[in-house]
Amino acid sequence: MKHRWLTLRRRLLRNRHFEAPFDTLLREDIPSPRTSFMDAEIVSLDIETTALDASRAEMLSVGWVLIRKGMVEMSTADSCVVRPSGDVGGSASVHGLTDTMVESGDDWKLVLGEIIEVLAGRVLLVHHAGLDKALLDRLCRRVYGQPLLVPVIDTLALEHRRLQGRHHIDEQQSLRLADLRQRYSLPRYDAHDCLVDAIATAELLIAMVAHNGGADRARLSSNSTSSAEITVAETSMPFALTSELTAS
Amino acid sequence: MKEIPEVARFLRGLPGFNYLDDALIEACARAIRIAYYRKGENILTIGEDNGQLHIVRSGAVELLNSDAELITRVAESDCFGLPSLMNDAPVRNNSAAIEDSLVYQLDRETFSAARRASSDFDTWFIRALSERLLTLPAAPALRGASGVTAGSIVGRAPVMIDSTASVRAAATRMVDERVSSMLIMDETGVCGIVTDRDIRSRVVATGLSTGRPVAEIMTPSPITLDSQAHAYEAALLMMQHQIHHLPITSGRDLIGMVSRSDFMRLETEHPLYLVGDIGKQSTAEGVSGACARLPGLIVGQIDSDAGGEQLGKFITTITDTVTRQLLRIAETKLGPPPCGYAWMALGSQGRFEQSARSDQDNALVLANEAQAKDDAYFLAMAEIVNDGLDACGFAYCPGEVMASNSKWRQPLRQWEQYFHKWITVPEEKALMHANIFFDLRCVSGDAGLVDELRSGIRETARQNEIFLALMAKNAMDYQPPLGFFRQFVLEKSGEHKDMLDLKRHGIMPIVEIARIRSLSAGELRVSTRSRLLAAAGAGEITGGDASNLIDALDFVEKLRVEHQGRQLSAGQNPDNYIAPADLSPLVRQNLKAAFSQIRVSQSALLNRFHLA
Repeated sequence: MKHRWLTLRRRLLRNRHFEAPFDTLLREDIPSPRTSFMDAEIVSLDIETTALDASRAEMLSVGWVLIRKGMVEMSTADSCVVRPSGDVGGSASVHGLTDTMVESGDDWKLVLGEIIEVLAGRVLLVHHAGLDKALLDRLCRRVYGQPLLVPVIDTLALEHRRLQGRHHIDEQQSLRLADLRQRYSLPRYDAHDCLVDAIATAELLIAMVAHNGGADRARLSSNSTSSAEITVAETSMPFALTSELTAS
Repeated sequence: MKEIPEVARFLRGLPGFNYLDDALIEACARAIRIAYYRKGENILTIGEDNGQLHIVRSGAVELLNSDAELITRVAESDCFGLPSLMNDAPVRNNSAAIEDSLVYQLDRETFSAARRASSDFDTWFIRALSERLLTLPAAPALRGASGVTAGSIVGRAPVMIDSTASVRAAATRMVDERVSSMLIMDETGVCGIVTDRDIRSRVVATGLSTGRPVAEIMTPSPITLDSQAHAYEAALLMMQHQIHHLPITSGRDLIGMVSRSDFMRLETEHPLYLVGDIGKQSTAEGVSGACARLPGLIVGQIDSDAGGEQLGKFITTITDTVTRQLLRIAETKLGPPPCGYAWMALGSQGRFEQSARSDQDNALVLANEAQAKDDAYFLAMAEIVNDGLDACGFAYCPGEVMASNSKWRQPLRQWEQYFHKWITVPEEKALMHANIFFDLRCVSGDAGLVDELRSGIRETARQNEIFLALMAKNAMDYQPPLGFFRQFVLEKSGEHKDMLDLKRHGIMPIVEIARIRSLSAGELRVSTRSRLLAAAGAGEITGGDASNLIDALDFVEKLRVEHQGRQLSAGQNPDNYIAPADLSPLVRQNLKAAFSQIRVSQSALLNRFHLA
């Protein structure tokens, strides 16, 4: 249902004129829910922000990498440092970004344009998509007057739903990226960097797919019946992988 | 270019990759594709193409050969897929994740670019490849010989020429010596190397005069390797420098050349390399030395499920090659033959049906103009070949059907008389020993002599019913070992008590039937199978009989092949005896069916000549 809604909204907007990358984003068809995992192009993205509140957070740096044919392709990996409008403050040290690095960064509108360009015709993947997606929606509204109209996969939400489906849900069980990776026997990454996190999230997704029926059987699908756990802005589309993930 | 943090850091810490500078590491990191395999999931399958280096980032992977034997386990930071990637060959082992595994894949192009850019990286992977090949069961020679030195794989003595010699003189030498490369010497020693390729590209293609000194087209100061270095060092140098020939030295002396095929021989143990190898030998000792690999090759053929027909052709091809090379050696030693001659293979070699334990049967046909004094030459020649064949494992014929026996070293005219007598005034006893002469085939020399002999036989045999009938009667000496109630009749005593002689009771009866039937049809094909088909084509037997006998022959030969394969693998001398008690009930039943078919065909043969 929500996929249809997303498609409809995008189609309506095609009659209006937007600036280049956003215009392309609307014109490129989004993958249908029946698209198999192997055929979908998925952009794993991570944003380092100045705050945890989407309504006032700003981007500090963004990293992304693509999953194509079920594999994480390093040739598509990229990252940008954003020159913030205000003071970086304390969060810069958390992210290991020095003032000089931040000063040499790009204008946030430029970076947003790049993100939109990469997302055209693809699916967005974020671990714990809420904050990042809300932030991107807000920035898109500021520039284009519309939220970021792309399908989203959230590895945290997928794992949460999988555990619920198994009645395994334990409030103590951590859904943090590092802990989930450990659960799927993925190596520990020490670097704290948006690109490393994007790669880490991409690896987590292909591991989850392998453990839930395999890449050949997995499909994208909007799952309106159990989307409750995906706490994101009202415009975001909770895309998930099919029953293999939920039913097992 | 922006650094990819975790991936580049991991690659930098990998053995081999530690030789790459930052730019190359980054280029490799950028080319990586990351795959995830669940425990138990297959990664590479035997026979498929593989264009990547697979690096285990986390987890563990197992490599299994086609018999599901464990080749090796690879864990974090180990690579696999090297042989298929580096040799551009199909995947040789199945690989499967034995733990949940994250695997980096590096494409061939980037990997090759890194090898070109860093010779240390290149060397490391060539070594890794060699070590991986050493663990492959498919390469017993290399595996069993981790101490193989470069000196030990030298194909032949080096061919050299002075640097002032002309290109033409060098090319002529190369043709005469049958080599594709040659070393160029000056007063200081080896100063260059010239290969076929150099003559093509630097002389023929450019129109250079062949009268120019060879020094002008040689590659100066060739790379050499000490004979004590490991054989893979030779492969390594050749791969690194993209060269096909490598001079091997011992101190200041030149030992010889190693070519890529010398190394390939070690790696692949392909029968074709043995043929090529025999052809390069200049002494009988060299030929028998090369043939030391034959039992291993036979086992290899049997392991790859060769049937009796295929194996027979293979062993016969080797025997023919050995014979021709020994004749060449004899002619080099004795000078040109005083008259024309043909070296004939008889019996199983003549029929392309040799087994792992076949003796030699051969003869010499001399041209009619041969004089009595010429015989000394041919005796010397026959002895070189007969002795050489024996040294190669093709034992002397107990019945002395060999060219060194003066009776079987005669001018064409005498041979025609032999056959004429056998056919027109046949004696049962004489014929019994003569039947293998009807399996004659020219191996070397003037084939026209043998053709002439054969056409005479074909004409006279068909018209002589008595001869054919006596042959048929003799053929009954080889009875299938089935008792009245279809139980096996086994050897009563001796070394092979309670065993069956597959050759005597299963193969020879069919060989005899086929020979008589094809002679009767006026055909003189060489192999048993083609004789049966030709006889059926001529209406001598029915098509059904022919195919039933061929099936029976296939079955019995296959049993023998497997039996001899087991004996060879166990280091025993192969024989023709099997114990029916060791066979499965199904095989026993099939063997009985084959014997029954032989009996039916023998009865038909007797009826054909009114002998029943």
